[in-house]
Amino acid sequence: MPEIFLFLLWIGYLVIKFKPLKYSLLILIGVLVFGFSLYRNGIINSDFQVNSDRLFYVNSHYFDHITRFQTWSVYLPYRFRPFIYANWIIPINVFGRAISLFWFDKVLAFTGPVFILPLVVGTVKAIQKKWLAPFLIIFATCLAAGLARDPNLGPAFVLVLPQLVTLMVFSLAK
Amino acid sequence: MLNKFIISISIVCLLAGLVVRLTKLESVPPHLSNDEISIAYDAYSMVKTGRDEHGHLFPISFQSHGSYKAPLYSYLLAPLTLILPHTDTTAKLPSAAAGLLTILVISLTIYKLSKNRLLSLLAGLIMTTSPWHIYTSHMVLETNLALLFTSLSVLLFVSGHFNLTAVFLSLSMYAYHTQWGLAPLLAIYFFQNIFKNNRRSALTFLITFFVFSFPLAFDYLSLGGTSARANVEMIWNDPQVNSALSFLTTFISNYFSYTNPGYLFFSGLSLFPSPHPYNPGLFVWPLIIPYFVGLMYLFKNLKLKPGFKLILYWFLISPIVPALTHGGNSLLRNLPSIIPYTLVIAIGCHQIYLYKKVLFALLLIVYSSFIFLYSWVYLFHFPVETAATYQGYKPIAQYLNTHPGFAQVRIDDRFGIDNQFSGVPHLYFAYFNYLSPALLQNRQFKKDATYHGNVAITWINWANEPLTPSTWYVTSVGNRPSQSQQQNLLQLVSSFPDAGGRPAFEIWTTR
Repeated sequence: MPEIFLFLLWIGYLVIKFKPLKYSLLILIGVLVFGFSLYRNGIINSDFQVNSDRLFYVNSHYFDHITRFQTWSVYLPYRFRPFIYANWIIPINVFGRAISLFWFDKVLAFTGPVFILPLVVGTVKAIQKKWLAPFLIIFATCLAAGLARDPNLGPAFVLVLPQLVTLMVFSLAK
Repeated sequence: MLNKFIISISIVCLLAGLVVRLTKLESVPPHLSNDEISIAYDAYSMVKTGRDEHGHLFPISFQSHGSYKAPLYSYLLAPLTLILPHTDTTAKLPSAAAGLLTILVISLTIYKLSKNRLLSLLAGLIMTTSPWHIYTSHMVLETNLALLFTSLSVLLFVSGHFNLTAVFLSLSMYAYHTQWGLAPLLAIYFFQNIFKNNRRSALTFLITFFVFSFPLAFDYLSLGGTSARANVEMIWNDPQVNSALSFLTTFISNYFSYTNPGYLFFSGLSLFPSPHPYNPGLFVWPLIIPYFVGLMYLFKNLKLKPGFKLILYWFLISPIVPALTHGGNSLLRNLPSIIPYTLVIAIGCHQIYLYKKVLFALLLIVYSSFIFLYSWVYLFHFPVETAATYQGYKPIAQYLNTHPGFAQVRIDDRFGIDNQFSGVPHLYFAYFNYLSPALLQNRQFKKDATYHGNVAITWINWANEPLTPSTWYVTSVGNRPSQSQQQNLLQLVSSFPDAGGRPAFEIWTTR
């Protein structure tokens, strides 16, 4: 079922690629993929309910650190502590984790050293031609994977595989 | 109005960065590490006797505790140990000074390349406030010294002083092992560029480089003195890397992991065990925007501006050497990358400034806020939270120096809450108590312990330890005597908390 959904998304993306509304539709695709990634990582279930046990590794890891920092913050007046040591830093960490998953060293584990070259060349060409849709979808997936306590690269890779193959093929373009 | 505002903010940030670099130099990190105290002691030993801890006369490679350290730091620190008190700050001074000078060098380099004052100021500002560079400037690190010499060689190259370029490039190889690979790669670029314009200068450059590098190469090839470290750390010595394909995979994976923006801007500086929300990146995360802007501008204008080729070349080659080593990302081995990254970010900031000044001002405000946050975390929380992982032998050394009421002292060289770390207490005692270097050079390695003077370094196993009168036993809280021994045989002389206030070490003696 998820694969069919993914396939439909992919077909939809190809259809709209050259339409005037492509950017807004691409954003919509990004949002859908993001939501689907949340589902694949078990963060939301099929009833759109958030799985609080699995949601946000921050609950189990970061929250403890933040609490301890707030406790230890003897250097700051109490009233200032929430501004410095507070949960607002968590989205930054999630974003950083997504960026980290987004990079070639993680993809290399799946592609191997042989396919990394066409991927790099294809990426450069895609950026030059401002064909940014694959990156949007890959990043949305990474963002969802980055929300999980222990990011599972397996489901994330299933989602980004078509985009990676596309980028590799794009290396052949003139 | 906006221009004045931006310049004022920049100057304030620059000054703040300088203050952060020198603030708490003595106490952040809380104590000197194994490698740092080894460098500090070797410097003291050299200036007193001309020999290192192991008795080698004027070595080119310091044996240390088997890590065979690059020599330049110890030689530069040596005279300082004669005229200044033996403190953490004294040991860190060359590194801190190298850090400050590197800021000046990088600003001048970008000014020489671009003739743009704002760009030069921005490069200096980014370098000054980089968590990566602040961290390395607060430690006794050879790599920080090597960075200064490498960047100085680049400045001299863009200024047209080719012979001096060769001299400083060679010297950088005496400062840290990463430069063994990086310096020849830079030398190839310099030679090629000089050769285009003046063949004689190129030849002189090459000869100077080889002449100054010769002692190091001779030491490596003939004496084998520097071989241990260089051989052990390379990926081809990893048993898992057993074919050309696995070598290629490991190298490419390492190379990309060093260039991963997540590592560079979000989590690279592992002040605390990961994952941790307050672990900063090597650069403050808002700079990821100018980083990509700068990279795109660099690629677009590569042919128009000749200086950009040098920056791009440096950018591409600097992760090669660290990527050839195993053991995960090392921010110390990768330190030479800080210069090209800083230059790219500065170029990106400048482009944002030219595009929309309001955007630039906004970026500056966000950037300043996070600099404040991470300075706070680094200066106040980092030493408290990580104190248990550092060796707190310094206060014990000072205590024993002022309380000579013992015939012998036996020191357990393990520390930590679970006694899980291995330390080098003899070096702390020798450095902080100004012991005669001859004592350590002539120490006796016996089956039960290593002896120098009235100090024995050993593993104390309380169940089998022969308890003798007038002997003091120094152990970590992870290795306390049993309750019955505490009640009947032993008494506590003194206890020493770590920088976080938690108990760390204790001195026991017989009742």
